[in-house]
Amino acid sequence: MIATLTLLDQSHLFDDVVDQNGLEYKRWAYLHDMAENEIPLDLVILGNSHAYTGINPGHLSAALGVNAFVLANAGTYVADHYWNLVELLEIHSPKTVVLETYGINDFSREFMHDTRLVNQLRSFNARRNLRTKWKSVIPLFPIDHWGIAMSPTLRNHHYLWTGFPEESKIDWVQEKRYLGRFIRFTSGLQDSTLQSYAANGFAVQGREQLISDESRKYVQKIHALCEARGINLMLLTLPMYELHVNEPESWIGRYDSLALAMSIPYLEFQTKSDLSTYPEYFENTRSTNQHMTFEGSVRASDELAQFIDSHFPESTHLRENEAQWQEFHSGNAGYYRYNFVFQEDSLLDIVAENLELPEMMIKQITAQSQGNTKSDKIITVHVTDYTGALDISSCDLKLSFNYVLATDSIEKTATLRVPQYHLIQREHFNVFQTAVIPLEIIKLTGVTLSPKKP
Amino acid sequence: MLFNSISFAFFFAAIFVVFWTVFIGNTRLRNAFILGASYFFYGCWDWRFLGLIFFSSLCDYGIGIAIDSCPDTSRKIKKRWVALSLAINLGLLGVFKYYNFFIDSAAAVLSPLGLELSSLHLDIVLPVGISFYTFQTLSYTLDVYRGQMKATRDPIAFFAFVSFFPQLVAGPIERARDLLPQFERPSHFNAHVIRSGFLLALWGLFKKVVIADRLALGVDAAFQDISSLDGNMAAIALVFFAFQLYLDFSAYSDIAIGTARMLGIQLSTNFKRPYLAASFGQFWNRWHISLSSWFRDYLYIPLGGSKKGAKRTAIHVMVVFLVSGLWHGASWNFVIWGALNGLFLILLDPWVIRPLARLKGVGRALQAIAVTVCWTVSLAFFRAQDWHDALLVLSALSDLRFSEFNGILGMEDFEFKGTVVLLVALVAFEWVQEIRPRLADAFYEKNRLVRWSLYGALSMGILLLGSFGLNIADANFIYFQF
Repeated sequence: MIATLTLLDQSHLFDDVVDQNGLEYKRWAYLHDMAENEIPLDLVILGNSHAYTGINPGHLSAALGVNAFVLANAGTYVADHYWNLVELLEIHSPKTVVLETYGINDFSREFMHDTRLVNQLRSFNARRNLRTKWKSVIPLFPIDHWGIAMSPTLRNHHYLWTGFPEESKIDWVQEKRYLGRFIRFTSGLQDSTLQSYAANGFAVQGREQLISDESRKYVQKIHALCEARGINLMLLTLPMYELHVNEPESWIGRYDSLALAMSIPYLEFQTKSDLSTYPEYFENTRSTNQHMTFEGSVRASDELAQFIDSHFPESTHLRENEAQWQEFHSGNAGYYRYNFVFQEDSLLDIVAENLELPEMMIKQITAQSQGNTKSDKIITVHVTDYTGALDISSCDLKLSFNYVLATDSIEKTATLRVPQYHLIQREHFNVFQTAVIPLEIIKLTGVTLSPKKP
Repeated sequence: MLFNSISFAFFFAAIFVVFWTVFIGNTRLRNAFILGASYFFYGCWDWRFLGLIFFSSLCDYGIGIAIDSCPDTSRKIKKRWVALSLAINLGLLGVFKYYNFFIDSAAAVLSPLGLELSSLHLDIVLPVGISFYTFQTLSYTLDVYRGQMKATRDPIAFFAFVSFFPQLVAGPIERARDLLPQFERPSHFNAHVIRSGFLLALWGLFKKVVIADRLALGVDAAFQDISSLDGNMAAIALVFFAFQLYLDFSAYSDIAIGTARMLGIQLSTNFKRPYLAASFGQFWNRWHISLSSWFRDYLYIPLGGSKKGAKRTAIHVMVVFLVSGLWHGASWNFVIWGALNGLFLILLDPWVIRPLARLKGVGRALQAIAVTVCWTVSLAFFRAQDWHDALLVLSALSDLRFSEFNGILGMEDFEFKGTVVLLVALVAFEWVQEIRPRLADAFYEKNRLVRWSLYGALSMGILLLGSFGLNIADANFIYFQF
């Protein structure tokens, strides 16, 4: 029986169907691709969907002059993060690990059912090292799920009843670079949702966000593993909207104590930053799991970069002068937040260059497709030589343009507010950036700077 | 820990090995081991209810000795002891299973009169298997009272008898006079018996995960959205449920009997091809036999059975079926289901079913079909959430159009057809067994290659065709809820 199962597994007849969004598989494909192409990984962010929506590894890489990667899978827990790290260390030697704390809440192997189980299985299956998989199947899954975790035949034998799917082998490594993030939310909290906070109160009770013993044990294992390898470790809590969480101090306090006990730095945005006060930084939902938007992720990444720079200076700015690094990252949205465009990139459109306006110079307006989602574009505007009377750090930029949608050939006119959610003031330029629906800008008709809306 | 889980496979493998190697020479130690294993098995569901089963066992152990110690002339005292046992056991059932039912029913009746009882509704968890082990331990006290057996003085054997893990949560409901003596005798390793137990358990597992759980996909889909059922879909849903219920419960019984047999313990037969019954009377001698015979011996016969005339017999039958309905579940659905089956037995058997036997050639088959169809219709009340939903399903049946068959209840086309083929094969197999009852015995006379081929085919069938894996909900046994 075991021999038959092994043969069937080896035949790949029952392998999982993975759709184009199979991010778990894609992340490991790119991590292996980086290893094979000798692109070193310096910084890794472990976590679940909060991490990959809330942290922008392109921005981190650009801001810190390193290669950063978000190894975070939806709906997973700290046990999964630990085993991801174990397997990652087989192929990479990062200098810094950031552990996002959402996966630390209440994980217990014995409550691995339904969606939790499916998520954990997806993450487990995406890993490629059979040895670490065998080692981790027992601690990760209750005994009744060992079989379906290890054997695609047992997991997917229902194909015999429901029909075999179309060929689902996907060549994941198609883009120039993929660093593990996934843009899901580009519009922030809407008025109706904000009103529902007023009507229904907080969605999450900080007091109820507990850390199970099993979760604590895995955090300590991650700490021990990092310590043994000489890797910097820090905890990070990404925020939810300020009206979303009641008594955040008691929740944050638990992580604070955890970090303190291990003598590792802890950065949290829920109470010790103004991030949680901006509705546009958060997914438009009042459900328990609220993620950050693109704008929120850029701002969080910028602040995280500053924190890492100040706590682990020896592990940052290692590669920004290397041609390989520049070539690898140019074209990534984050790269242009810290640098001008100087290389051609298939995902990039330069909408305008060297526009001389009355009180400022627009060095570049670029529109980038996001290769990992195919559904959003990032507009980046570099402003230089501003001589106006307004405080640029509290302004929005408005672009008026004619455009066509990717799905529609009719030309339309629009004014886009590019919010100044976090001004990067480099030596020579100020950067405005936002995510928009997929569009192609035909003609730019106007650029104005105006005080930010309250 | 479900029978159809890997954890049970590991658990039972360990128990089997230790049982036949370590404790075989010492009956008391063996019983203590079985008791420990059974309490562990039960504790895996909810360790808090171990106290309940311990308390129930302790009471009946003590009451049994108390009754046995009374002189034969002290009938009154013996009666009081039995009354105490009934009060304790039925009291436990009453609190844990029926309290909210009676409160809610009373509240529904009294609320128009201004009496508010809904605040008395309690958030009570129904302990798994309470209906089964309560009836089992009650039968012990009643048998001792009737002088049909002596009270045991061996507490370990008695506690093991009440909690024996293969049949603890869903039967068969064993009689103390059959099962208890087996705990008082030494075990003897018999490879043939163990082999037959293994095959029976394997067959049960196949029925459960390959057929019953796949039928459940269609049945659950249908009963989740009753208002959209047309006549054809309602009919298919009911037929599927009739087979799901039979296969699910008989599978549990097969696994229970098979695993017990592998530990040298014989449990009673619980199902005997009920859908081939030639009358309702025969049906109830083939369906959940251990419960039917329990009601017969401890309720129907004490009421007077069939010895007090036709009218009284009919009343006794209705009482038994109403109680049986209530035993299955604390809701009016089950009471109606019980009443319907009582009426079938009283009215249809003499006037419709038995006369069919006169039709030569097809009479026997028509009897089986008629009984099964009536039973299937009654199951609308068994499966639906409430009697209103059940009536919706039955009213949908009036729109039955065989010519426009298109409903496959949320299954893939091949899955639906494959499931129907499996059901037809199963009925054919049972028919062959009906004609050749010693078919299973003949199998063991076949050579090793044939036997191992069947073991292999069943095992691979379970692994490759079973309804488990991703996107399949945890498949509990239906009768666990009772």
